[in-house]
Amino acid sequence: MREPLRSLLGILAIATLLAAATAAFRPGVRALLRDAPRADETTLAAARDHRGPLLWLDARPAADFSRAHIPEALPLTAEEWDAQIVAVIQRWQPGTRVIVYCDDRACGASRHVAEKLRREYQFDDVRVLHGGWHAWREASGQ
Amino acid sequence: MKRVEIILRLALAAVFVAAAVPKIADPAAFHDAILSYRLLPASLSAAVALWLPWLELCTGLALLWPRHRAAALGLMLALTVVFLAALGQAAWRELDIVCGCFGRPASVRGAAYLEYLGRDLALLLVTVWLLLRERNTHTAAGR
Repeated sequence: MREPLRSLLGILAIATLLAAATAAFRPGVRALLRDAPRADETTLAAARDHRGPLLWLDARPAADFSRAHIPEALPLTAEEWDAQIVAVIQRWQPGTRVIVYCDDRACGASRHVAEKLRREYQFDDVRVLHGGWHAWREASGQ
Repeated sequence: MKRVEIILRLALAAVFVAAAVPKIADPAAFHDAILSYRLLPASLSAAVALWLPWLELCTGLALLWPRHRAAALGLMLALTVVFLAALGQAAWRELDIVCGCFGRPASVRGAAYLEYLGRDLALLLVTVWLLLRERNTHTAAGR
């Protein structure tokens, strides 16, 4: 076998072995591969089982929110933050679990909104909906 | 010219190693970044988020080893083309993505794409030039 090809296969093999070792020894990585909810996420089932006040926040663009959204959800996006945060603060009360969602796993908007609420507004129970709006639509058969 | 070649080789290796380390430390953040490109399903992108940083690290380190230099440059060329294609399709589809290029999540949209595409293009040019130099050296040595 030609030398560069042997080297190339060697590099690929070592990278694969190291990745496999990471998956074997880091529990967080295994959860990632299983697509399990992360520490700051909640599933739809867990949200429905939650006892206590819930506040749904929709971090999708305004046009998507207007078309359809989770009942009683309030819109909250980075673009219109100042105008929308007032209603959120009015609705929020101590002990409320806030659940933020955007389209699906691929959008980062819900995570950004959740982080900002924790960091700048000291909301202590803010989660991101695992699977987002897509998960809600699937569960409600839409 | 030899000195330029060594400097560029070291810089390229450093870029790949620097890009890999934060992703290895936080594969979940890199997974989010990959998902934002809307190219792969979640299960496959998780495997890529785990494997790709190690490949970048191994490739970066292999570039410093003369025996494996040609293979490392070949892999870097392939990776950079993949990165450019992923960025290009996201720019074409006007997606708001998280770059994930050097671990620290950076939001990319609109005109910001130009900076990232330009950076990847520069990486591609350096890699191609080093690859051509490598081939010329081997050709000369083989005569």
